[in-house]
Amino acid sequence: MVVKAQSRPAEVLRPGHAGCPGCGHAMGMRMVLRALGNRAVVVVVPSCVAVISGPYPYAALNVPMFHSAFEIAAPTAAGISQALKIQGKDDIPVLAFAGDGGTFDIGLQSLSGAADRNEDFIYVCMDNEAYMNTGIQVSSATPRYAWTGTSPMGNTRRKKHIMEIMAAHRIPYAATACIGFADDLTAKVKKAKEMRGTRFLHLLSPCPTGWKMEQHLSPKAAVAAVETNIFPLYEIFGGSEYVINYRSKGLPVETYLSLQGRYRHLRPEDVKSIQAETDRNWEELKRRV
Amino acid sequence: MSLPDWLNPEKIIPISRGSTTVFKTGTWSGNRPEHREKTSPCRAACPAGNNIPDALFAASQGNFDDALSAFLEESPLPGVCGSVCYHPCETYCNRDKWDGSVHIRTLERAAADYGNAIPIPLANSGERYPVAVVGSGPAGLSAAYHLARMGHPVSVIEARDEAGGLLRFAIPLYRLPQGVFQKDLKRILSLGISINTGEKVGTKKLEEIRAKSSAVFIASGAQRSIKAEIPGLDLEGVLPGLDFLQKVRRSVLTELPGKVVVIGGGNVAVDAARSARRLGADKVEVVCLEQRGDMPAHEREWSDALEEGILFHYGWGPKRFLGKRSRASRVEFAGCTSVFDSKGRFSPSYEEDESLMLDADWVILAIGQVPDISPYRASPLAERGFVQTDPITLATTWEGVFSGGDFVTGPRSVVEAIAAGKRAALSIHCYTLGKPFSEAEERTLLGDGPGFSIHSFFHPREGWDPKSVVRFEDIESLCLDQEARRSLGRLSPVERTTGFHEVDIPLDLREAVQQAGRCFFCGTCTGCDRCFLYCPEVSLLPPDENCSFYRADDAFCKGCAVCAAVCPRGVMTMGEVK
Ligand SMILES: Cc1cc2nc3c(=O)[nH]c(=O)nc-3n(C[C@H](O)[C@H](O)[C@H](O)COP(=O)(O)OP(=O)(O)OC[C@H]3O[C@@H](n4cnc5c(N)ncnc54)[C@H](O)[C@@H]3O)c2cc1C
Ligand code: SF4
Ligand code: SF4
Repeated sequence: MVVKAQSRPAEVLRPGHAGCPGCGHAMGMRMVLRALGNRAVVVVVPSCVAVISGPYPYAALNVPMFHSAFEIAAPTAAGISQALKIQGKDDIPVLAFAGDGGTFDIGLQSLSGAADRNEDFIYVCMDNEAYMNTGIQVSSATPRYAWTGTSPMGNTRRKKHIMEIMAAHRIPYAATACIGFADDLTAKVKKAKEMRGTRFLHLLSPCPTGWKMEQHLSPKAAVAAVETNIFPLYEIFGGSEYVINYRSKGLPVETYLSLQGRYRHLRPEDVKSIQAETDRNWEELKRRV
Repeated sequence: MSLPDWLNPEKIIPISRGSTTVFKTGTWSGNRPEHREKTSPCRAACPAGNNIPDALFAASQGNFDDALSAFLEESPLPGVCGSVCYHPCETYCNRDKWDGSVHIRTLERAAADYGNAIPIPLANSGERYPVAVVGSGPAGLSAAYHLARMGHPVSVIEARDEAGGLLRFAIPLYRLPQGVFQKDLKRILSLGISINTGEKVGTKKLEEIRAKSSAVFIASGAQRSIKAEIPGLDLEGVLPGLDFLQKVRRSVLTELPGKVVVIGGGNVAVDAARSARRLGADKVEVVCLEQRGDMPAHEREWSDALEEGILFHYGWGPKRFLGKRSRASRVEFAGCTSVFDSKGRFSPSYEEDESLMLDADWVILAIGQVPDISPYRASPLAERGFVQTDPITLATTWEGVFSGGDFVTGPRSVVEAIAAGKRAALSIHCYTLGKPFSEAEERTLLGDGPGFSIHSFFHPREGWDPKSVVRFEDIESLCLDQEARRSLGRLSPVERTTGFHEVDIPLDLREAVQQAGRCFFCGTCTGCDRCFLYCPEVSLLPPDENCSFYRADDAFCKGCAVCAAVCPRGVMTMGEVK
């Protein structure tokens, strides 16, 4: 069938970047940036995002991009946003990409400060659940039982509930999204773009390298995360109004876990406890809606 | 204005002005995706080789003209098949393994109802080779249609006073409304095909037309009712099944008072019984040799008949017809203990002590039909007492004469007759041009065959591999929505039996669009852009003016196979750098 020409949004991400083959982050960045458009300023901090954004003197982003320090993605974005306002360019959105390490651990206090002041920017946490570009070390976004280089027997702590932390700041908008549901992700970026104040996106983007999966499995793992309720898609408005965006198939967590080598060592009782925790979280989320 | 160094951004922070496109990451891997369209299992299972994914995609977009046009690529009778086909396509539909097959047949009917399209011509190389077709049933019409599309002047000769074969004179109106067939027929005739009705072809005539034409296709069906040696057969009120159905379709019989006994366990028997019911019979009983589970009639026909108040007696064979003053009044049956002998041949054995006596004002004998070769007696065709054809080319032993449909196979189905007509058409076309048919067929065989695509033989579809069939396992089921197959509207048994209204209520437009949207469009690219959007390298190029495929940019593609993994129809496949 001859495919009809269709109009497509401009691409902001360029080829030639250094992401691993099948990188979920690259997909996520690409989708976010297409939705954001090419009139924007982007902040990146050390993380796989920074690897993808290009080595000096080359850039993978087709928009002005500021490469800041690990712990200050949020205040950097806030500063740029303020500066643009002073210049009268308050129609240019500022978006910060940080990894889970830069968000859950290292950048948390500066993010909290910026969110507390309700600074005007979009913050996208690209969560691949460990410090991947430094060689797969555990972060506070790593789920319990997951293998990393620093949790060789499986992580003993549970994943930090970043969405609740952000909700506690009562920011106008916080949402989860994932690369498996491109339309939902795109709609959320567009919605965030139309709002003002601190907007937070928690984006799950599976990492074939760190999750020990085949290269082509990132989108599938992301879908599985949602369909098993491990990573539900929802929004929080003003810190209190919850909306669930997708009614999952409620598949058993094995559907998700079995795709990934980082869970290969799980014993049946571990799977059971992951299932129990997932169910509890899901019930808790539904209760809040 | 020049800034002091300590304020000059160019000096205090390094600025990247180059693009990462200088890095040719395509060297990282030798794997590359290929946009390779494939065949859907439904299409491979349809004897006519209908282009179902294209048709259903158009329908899902509300474009019924294109949907009809896609069906017309391979078959002249989408309205008819959409009403009465036994739809093997649905049995093999990939969605059947998910939440119930797509309503393909009903959607074919919707395309015929709501669409308007002119069949796409195939070639004009047949111009100088006139072909004669004997019989205007689905096999004859299909051959004529495809031959005309290849440029051949076609004349059809039909013994009856109207065209259509069993479509016109047997299949009851409650399953195939007259208007539906007429719309198909009109479209076929619009190709400039002439049909001479009222002329029965015999050996002499056959020799005559054979001399005048480049080739002849014989599709005279299997319409001779088998007559059993049963005492009382010539009583008034005893009718062969096909004669009865024909009388009903000709409106010769408009009412049937009294008790009706139908003998036979096949679809013809069931159609006869249901027609009798609609003609107002007081009581209709079907008696067959087989036990309930072994009846050759389709389950659906049988259960419809039950709902309409028809009684069934299983395991009885007719012994004699009894009459009052030359009119049938009763039938006596003997218990049938087995239908086939130990070698599997039809040879019923009876338990003579057991008998059943039924009152009958009418007895309809529907115990089977066979091809009638007697008109061609004295011709090379009849040498063995039946026509023999090459299964691939459908050529008979008589040079230039081809044959197919029920006439060769015995009673089968409309879609198989259409398939035979199409096969004969291309085979005759090759024969007249002196080209081997096997090569033509081989190129467009769908899956393992025997279905093939005549359309794509003349209009090749670039990048399509007709032989590889998309299996359910090739589709990423995690990404599929759940939308169970819905049962469709039908008249209630009471509404049905008040006349010959169509039992299945055709889909309305909105429903048709919705049901078509359930199709996965297996193996057919719909331009959904998923492969493009998910490429983490931004290096899968979408179709444009220069190329109608999605394809990898060799300079940057890292061969990760994400595009192939996210394709919901199994089109993107991994290969290697060319
Ligand atoms: C009651 C009934 C119900 C059926 N229901 C279905 C159904 O629901 N679905 C389905 O798929 N199939 C059904 N079938 C089967 C289907 O109708 C046949 O398989 C199909 O029509 C065969 O097509 P054909 O072209 O080979 O033969 P036919 O349809 O029998 O056509 C043969 C034509 O040749 C003409 N002819 C014969 N001899 C000569 C001659 N010497 N000269 C000139 N013309 C001649 C005849 O008049 C006739 O028009 C049904 C059959 C019957 C009897
Ligand atoms: S889903 Fe559509 S294309 Fe696939 S087998 Fe079923 S009807 Fe055919
Ligand atoms: S002709 Fe029959 S088998 Fe072919 S698509 Fe139509 S309903 Fe299905």
